[in-house]
Amino acid sequence: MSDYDDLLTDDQGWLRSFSASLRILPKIEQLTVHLPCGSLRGGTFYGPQGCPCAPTEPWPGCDVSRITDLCQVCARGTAGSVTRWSYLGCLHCRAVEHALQAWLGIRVLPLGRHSLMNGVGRRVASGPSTDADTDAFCQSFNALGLSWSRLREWGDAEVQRLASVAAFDVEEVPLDQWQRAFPVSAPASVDAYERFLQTKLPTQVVAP
Amino acid sequence: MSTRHFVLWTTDTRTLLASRHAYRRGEAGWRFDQAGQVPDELVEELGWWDWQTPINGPFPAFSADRLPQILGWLQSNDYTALVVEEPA
Repeated sequence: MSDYDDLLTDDQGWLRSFSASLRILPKIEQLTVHLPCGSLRGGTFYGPQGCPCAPTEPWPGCDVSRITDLCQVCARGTAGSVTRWSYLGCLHCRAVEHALQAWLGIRVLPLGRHSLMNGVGRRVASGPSTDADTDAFCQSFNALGLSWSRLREWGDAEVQRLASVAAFDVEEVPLDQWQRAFPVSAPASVDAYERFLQTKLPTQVVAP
Repeated sequence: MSTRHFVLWTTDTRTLLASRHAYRRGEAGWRFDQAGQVPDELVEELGWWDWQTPINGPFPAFSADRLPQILGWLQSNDYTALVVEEPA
């Protein structure tokens, strides 16, 4: 019985069955942080979620075969989903990014999984064009690729940094244990941004 | 280094047919992907959005190493598309 089952009437039995079926789904807290590579892995409703050390088969019907990942900025919160339109940063880091964007007028970190989410998409339209246009197209995509790589490297290094702070003596740490050791918070996201950018963030960004 | 791949979002029939022919001819790097509509909340957030979102896929996709080639091909044939990078 769940906390809500006694609120259901007899003709809502289907809801009770549905609720029961949901409870057999693995929770995302059952995922573990694989410390050698810093990725989340484990069993999910869609199938096993792998990591670079142990890749798994792609999940049918999903853009991305991962239900969640550690935030690539703070490595504390979770981010991402099976859709191409998901984010690489947790809610707190995205809030910092939004505040920075509002202040600077530019994107600082590419926290979208799709190029369009980072403002990168190139319209090729009928009409005259030059090799310079093609070069400009390629440069914008290359720049996005480099930014994503840099963010990924940062995220991986952040996992290793946090792991060394906690001095775990195991290879895999359950996600809930990881998040108890390293709670998600706005100050932690600001701290991660400041270390990534190697500068103090202005007060209007830190406390908008 | 993870794989990167690009997708042509287009409602232009000439562009779609030409890329489909290239795919059928077995030209390296082509594939076809579903191109879902951008979620409304993202359209609002993106702000810069200024074009008609396609809702019908699949649309032609190609590997990153062909990006300069495909862009040149689109431009030299007056094809119309939005080139985007999708998660691999």
